[in-house]
Amino acid sequence: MSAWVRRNRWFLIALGVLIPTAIVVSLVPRWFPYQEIQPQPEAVELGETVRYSGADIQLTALEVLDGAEVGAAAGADVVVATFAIDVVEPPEVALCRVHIVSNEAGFERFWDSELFVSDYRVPDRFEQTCSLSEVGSYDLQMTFLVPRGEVLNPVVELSSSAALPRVLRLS
Amino acid sequence: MRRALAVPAGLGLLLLAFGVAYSTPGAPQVEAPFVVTGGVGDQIVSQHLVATVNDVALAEVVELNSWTGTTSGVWLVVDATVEARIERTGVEANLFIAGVRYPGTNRTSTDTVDGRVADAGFPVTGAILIELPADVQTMPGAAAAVLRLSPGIDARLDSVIELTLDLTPLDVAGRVELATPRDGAR
Amino acid sequence: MTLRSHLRAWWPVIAAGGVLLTGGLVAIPLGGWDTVELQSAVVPEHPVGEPYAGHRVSTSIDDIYLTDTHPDGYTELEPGTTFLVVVATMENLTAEPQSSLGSAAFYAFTLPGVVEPDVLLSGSTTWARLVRDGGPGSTLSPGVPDTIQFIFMIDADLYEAGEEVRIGLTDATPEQADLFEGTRWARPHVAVEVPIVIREQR
Repeated sequence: MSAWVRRNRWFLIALGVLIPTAIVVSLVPRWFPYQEIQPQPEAVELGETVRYSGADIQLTALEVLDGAEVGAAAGADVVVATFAIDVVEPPEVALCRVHIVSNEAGFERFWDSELFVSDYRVPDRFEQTCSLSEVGSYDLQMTFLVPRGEVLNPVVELSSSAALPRVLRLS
Repeated sequence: MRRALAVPAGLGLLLLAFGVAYSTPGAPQVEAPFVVTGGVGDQIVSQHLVATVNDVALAEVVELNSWTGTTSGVWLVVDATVEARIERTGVEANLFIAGVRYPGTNRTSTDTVDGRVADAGFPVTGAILIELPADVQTMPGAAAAVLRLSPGIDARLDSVIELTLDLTPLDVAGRVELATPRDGAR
Repeated sequence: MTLRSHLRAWWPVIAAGGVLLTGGLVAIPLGGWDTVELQSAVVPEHPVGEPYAGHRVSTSIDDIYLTDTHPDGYTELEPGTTFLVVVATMENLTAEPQSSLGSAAFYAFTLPGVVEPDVLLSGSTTWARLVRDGGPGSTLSPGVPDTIQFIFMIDADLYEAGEEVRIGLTDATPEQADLFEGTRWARPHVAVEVPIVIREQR
């Protein structure tokens, strides 16, 4: 047996190199592009202005309202996020999405914005939907329902389809 | 020696090839969902949903809100608490009996916990209604019916919750009154 | 070769030709060369109210009527139109939920001028309601029969009460689909026809 191995040692070494290489090469067209399109969050502090998707975006306020005090549905608190947005160079198409993110349960959870979720009313001077497609500046305020007592340190995630995979996480 | 081995070796390889071809998984196996199982009363956690099936019953007529649901078959009535685990997701319910798929009913608008969306951390308790053939309890596979909760209609390669239900010993109630989905666990 | 030997050699051909010529001449006063109807192409008739079981669904046509009032009580007619309602009892014979009416490639039934193979129906002028409670009747669960009203908004002069119409109940061969998961329905065709008189229900 050892004589056989000795006789074929170079071929066996070649197999030992080529088989793993073939596996890696077959994964390359899918693995790396997949990794490249995964969201790349960028942390932004409250009050800090950042240029994103052709707009200057600043989170000006972020608060958690006691759901019971604002008449929210049972088991819910209300997160209010306020932005100053100045769209300078709008991309041709930009779908803007805003979520609340929290990892306080041990893993990340996300909540969508909702209108008319409690007695809290967004003042008229604020827009209530995010738009990055037209030049101009506006103040944006959005409300979110989150599980009562479970989201004490919310993070606002703002993403634009034109700027992916870069996403902003503001808190 | 080598010559004597040639034929059996060849036959052996042929059998091996047959075995490989025969056992190669087809699309249903390759695309099968990732299943998390549990029983009635268990809180079952999949990638998208957290669900507890509280009770299971059969009924000829169901009353839900202002709707009275009659059927030429029989209703499977499932009381369940469902919430999303990570983010807003849909809730689809299907029952499988011997490979036959019975969907959650669309006759009640949004008055069941399936056919609507669930949010993370907001459990909702209510009914799931599935119309079944009138003779379901005598059908093959009725003792091992599988209730599947999934985030969408297409469950291929997705994380789903499944429970095995024995329908055979259930009494068929004449009429069952149900409540619309309510916030919170049971 | 002599003429006689030529004739002897060719007599089978001459005899066959003679028979054909004679038959052709005889056929003229007897009605001419009518084509014979292929019996396999004749679509058999099927009675009203009797279920016909295909591979996908079992269908029985129970009723058909014209009305100016939509069964839901509120949908209005466009000018120059009326509602044609087909009432059918159907059962899904497959292992997956099925659309009661089917799709343009394979409708559950055909109705001349209203439901034609490969012609898309508009969702804004076609409805399916359960007779039992007016609920949505577009999906059939396997093995659970139900009676469905199929409502079509049609030109008011397309049909009139008292007119007989032939509703075609269809069938197709189930095959494993290649391009998508599930069943492909091959060779859809009208299997039987249900002659039925349109009522008037105002």
